[in-house]
Amino acid sequence: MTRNLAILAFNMSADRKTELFRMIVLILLYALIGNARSIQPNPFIPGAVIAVYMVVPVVGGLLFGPLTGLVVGVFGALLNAISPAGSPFEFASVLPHGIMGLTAGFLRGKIPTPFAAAIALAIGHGLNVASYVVTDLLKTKPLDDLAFWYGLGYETLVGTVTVFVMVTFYRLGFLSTPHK
Amino acid sequence: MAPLSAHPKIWQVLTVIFLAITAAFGLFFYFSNIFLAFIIAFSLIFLAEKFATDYRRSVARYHLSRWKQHVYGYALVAFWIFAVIFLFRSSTLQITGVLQKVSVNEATLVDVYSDKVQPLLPAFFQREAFTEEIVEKVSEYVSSLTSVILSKGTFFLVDALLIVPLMFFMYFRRRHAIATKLFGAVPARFHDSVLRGAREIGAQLHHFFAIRVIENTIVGALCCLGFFIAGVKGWLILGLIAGFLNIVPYFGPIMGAVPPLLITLLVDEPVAALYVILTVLIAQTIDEFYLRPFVVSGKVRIDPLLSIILVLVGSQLFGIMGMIFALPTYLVYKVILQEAYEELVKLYGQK
Repeated sequence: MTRNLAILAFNMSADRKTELFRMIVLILLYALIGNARSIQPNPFIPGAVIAVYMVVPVVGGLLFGPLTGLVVGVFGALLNAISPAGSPFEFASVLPHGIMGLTAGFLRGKIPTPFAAAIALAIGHGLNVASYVVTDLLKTKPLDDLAFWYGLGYETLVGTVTVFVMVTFYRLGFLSTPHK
Repeated sequence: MAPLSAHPKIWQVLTVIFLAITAAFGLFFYFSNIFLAFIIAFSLIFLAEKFATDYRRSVARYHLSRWKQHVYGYALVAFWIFAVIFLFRSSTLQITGVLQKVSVNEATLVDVYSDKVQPLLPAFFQREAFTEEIVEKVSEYVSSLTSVILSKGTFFLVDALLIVPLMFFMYFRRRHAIATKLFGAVPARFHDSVLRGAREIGAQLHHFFAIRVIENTIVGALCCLGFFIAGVKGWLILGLIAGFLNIVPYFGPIMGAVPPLLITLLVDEPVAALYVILTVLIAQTIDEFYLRPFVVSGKVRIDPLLSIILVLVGSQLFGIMGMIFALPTYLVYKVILQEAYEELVKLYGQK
């Protein structure tokens, strides 16, 4: 199987290799940020922290398209789930984060980046909550508390700002400004 | 390559030009504080131009109406100002929080070094004299950094506050008018060569500074990410400082690694300190083995051996400033002397 994979990788076109390389880098980035020792507390939900790693599939989708967003969301969440920082919540996030990356990819170029990021992150958070409730990781009682939704809104806002900063800097680095 | 001219007049004029450029650069290094503000202004102008290009592309892509363009533009400016203030404020608060808990003096540094760093080192480095030397050096670095920030910081800030807005106005509003005025003072027969030389110098310096800004931004971003993952307090400012200090060849990365290492060791997080070292090593590996050979060398065509010699000569003559400006200075000399030589050969002929 390893031999077949090696042959497959060798016969890939340069574009495919670049795409694969980007996906691997973003998946590793997702897991690395998921295991980060810096903690950003959520001021609205006591004890909760902001899941900064959720921006990675959105950035992947917005910069490189829906397939990259989907793959980074699914495999990044899986890798994060089996990493030291993993928990049942991370396993439940696999599908929501994949859909979030896919959404970001579909919105790419159709609406300005901050709005696309905000929509994708809001969908991701919504699906996360639904997934936790379905898998019985989250009781429905906290959902009645308004602070919970404020907390999710705050997380979406911070995520949107982070995505916008990352996307802008990536574009600036690869944009050529003609010399006058 | 054609043989060089032996006409004495050509070499006399070239010597005068060489001395004039040297005098101009001498002034530059003498008033280095003011010129540093100019360089920062140029870097900010470069970034502003990039942002403007990105904004224009976004506007064209989404077919925004005129008033929407204005709203989007002002919203973007407001966003960046608030984001920078918010991130810097929170990062600074984290660092000051750490520094308030522990007082940074030589005794603290000796404790930190002997408790947390020395046990990890091989026997050779555990000698007492070596420990004293290391602590003395780090202590000197911290106190010199503090005194430099206090003494030169205010002066530099005033300079920057005066010069940066003025440069922005000149560049975005009056650059064509100024260029036309300066060009009008050049004798008509030298118009072509002066124009060619000015364009070449502009292009070379633009490429050089653009690529250095991009290179340092990438290194800074990698350090920010690494310090964030490591859990370093004030990761944003410390990462940006590491990226900024990367402009100093060879010593910059070491200078950039010291503040986060000190912070992590002072708050008693040796694992985070190891992550910091790993981050700086990874960032420097990417810089040395990918960014410089494939990105920087492609844009700025200078022989690697020559660039090392120039940086060493610059450091001997003018210290850190000499190291930073060795290559752009060489580029200016090269283009002016080359253009002047070609023009003089046309004027006096080969002998």
